[in-house]
Amino acid sequence: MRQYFIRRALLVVPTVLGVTLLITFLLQILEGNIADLIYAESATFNQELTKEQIEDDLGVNDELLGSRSLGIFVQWGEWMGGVAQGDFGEYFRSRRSVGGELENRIPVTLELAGLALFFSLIIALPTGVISAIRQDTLVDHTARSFSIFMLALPSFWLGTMYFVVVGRWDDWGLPQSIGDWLLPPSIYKDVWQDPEANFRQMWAPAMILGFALAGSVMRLTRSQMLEVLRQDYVRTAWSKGLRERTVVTRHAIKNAFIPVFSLIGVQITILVSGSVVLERIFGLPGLGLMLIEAVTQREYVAVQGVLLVVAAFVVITNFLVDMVYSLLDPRIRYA
Amino acid sequence: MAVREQAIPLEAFEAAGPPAWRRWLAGCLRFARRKPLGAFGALILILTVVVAVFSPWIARFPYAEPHFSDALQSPNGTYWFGTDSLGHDFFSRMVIGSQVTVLVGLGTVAVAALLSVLVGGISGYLGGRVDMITQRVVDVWVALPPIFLLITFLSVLGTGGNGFLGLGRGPDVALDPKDGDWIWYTFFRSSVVIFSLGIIFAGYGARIVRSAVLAVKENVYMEAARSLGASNVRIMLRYVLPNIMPLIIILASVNLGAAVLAEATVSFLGFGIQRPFPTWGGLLDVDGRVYGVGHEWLSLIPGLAIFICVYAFNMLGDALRDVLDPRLRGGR
Repeated sequence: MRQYFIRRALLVVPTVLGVTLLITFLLQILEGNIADLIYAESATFNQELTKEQIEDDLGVNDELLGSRSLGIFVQWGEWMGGVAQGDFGEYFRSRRSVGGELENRIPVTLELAGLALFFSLIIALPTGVISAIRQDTLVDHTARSFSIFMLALPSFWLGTMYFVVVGRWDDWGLPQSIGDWLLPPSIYKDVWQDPEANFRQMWAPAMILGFALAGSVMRLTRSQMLEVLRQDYVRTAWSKGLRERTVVTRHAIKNAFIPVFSLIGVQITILVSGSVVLERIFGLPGLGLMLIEAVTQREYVAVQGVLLVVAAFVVITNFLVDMVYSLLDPRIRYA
Repeated sequence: MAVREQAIPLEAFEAAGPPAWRRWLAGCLRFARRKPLGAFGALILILTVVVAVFSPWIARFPYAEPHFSDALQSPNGTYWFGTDSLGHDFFSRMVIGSQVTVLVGLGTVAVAALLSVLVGGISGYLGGRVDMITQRVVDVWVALPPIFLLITFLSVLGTGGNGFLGLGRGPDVALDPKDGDWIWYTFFRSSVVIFSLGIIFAGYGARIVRSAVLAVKENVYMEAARSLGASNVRIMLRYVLPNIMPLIIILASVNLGAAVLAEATVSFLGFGIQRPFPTWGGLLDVDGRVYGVGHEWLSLIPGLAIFICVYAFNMLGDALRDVLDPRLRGGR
């Protein structure tokens, strides 16, 4: 077990480092005049900003062994050195700290993703189990076609339609109290400041994101359940004369849920990706919106910061899921 | 060679059965009977391609022609899908936009297949240190959520001077004003979108191709070929490639729905092919999201079009996978 753990842990570090190098490289293949462009655009925001500062931030003049193209390693080393000390650099224009901004944004995305995961499991696990124990009945067919629809239904369309439908709550004669829940004011409220206002803003996007996940979770739960129900020990449980409820909850569910748990590692990627779209539609200031803002304003230091945080989050989550999975199912360790 | 000359000529077999097109048709009908949903998917795909190819003739108005006095009309006899806030005919914009769905969808799948065969094939075939390093690169490749990488790609390649390789020059310049109806009008931007999406999808494909190549490598005929002195390139092209071909077809067809969805997503976020050329995702954003309240058709129509295409292509991909290689069923 320890050996497996160490081997997997050693793979996490080069992956995250590789991602940061890739990002730095990607941002460096821009033409050299990017500093001019940012300088020209920044005139209206920050008069004191000089072109040298921008070039310095971007590291366009860094050299290694007398070569400008190898300079990206210098720039990468400097940036990583800063990150290791908790300094993610600054925005070009406002000179705000990127690290501070990340601190504000991460909880929003985490809350959205966590709520969405919660909703998706609440929907998917029971329907998956019921659909398996009532295989080929009307319930099963309904649940399965529902899950296939969920897989193809784009969350950005659901989000848009939410506003189109709910935007007219006034015309439908709904009272103000319900309207407040359907269409809360768009100024974001922190969960520690005002939990109720925060939840009003969060439940709809989390629900939509949860729907997108529920389809695949339901399908996997169903197929795993079906497989487990055919196992010998389940037949033994039946022949002992146990009630259906006991067979399903005590004997079948536990083993069926293990692979479903490993799917969560994959889900994290979908969750974080989906949060970009929903944060934009619902105006939630999370990591996704930060990336869109940074990318359109060419704040590349901030782009680097967001991508590093997201990559580290995804890689580490996958690592943890693998570890817990191998604890739950000993067969994995020796594969 | 002598053996081949003595063999019964191929025509003898063909003459015995019904002609080739009859057999092909029968095969299609059998597919449709066994997989009705897959056949529905194929039908939608053909329909979309036909609409896209003939879109400049199907469109009832030039897609960028404003009719200010008719702005935001609901669907009626003149404007079948209504009009947007500037009085553009929404039907024409949807029809022209189908070119993006078809070209970017198929192009992405093709680029992804090519790249994943190249990377996965070489990595799996050569093995050893090359494989180790390639696999670590692929790990990095798939570590980031696709949409984050896409947004960064598309904005970096699309702005700032001429961008990478001169491909991303801001808004595209029309090659010729009368070509405006065709997607070639956005040649630079659409190739950037296709390659960015293709590169992302190839990361996942490379892993699958690699494991398939590893399995093929174990066969005895590979050893036979090598002992006959066949070169690496010859073995790869004549022995490995034909054996993983079904897998590549499956990979491409399963990816098609996802590629269309990804294109619509980046267009919705404003990083796809740029206005004035219409895309379904862009129409859903600029018209549907902004003007949708009270003008439901603006968000219903493009969203429904994306949904039907993604659903149909997914069904087609699943059906093809089941028919071509039942071992891959399940999962997902």
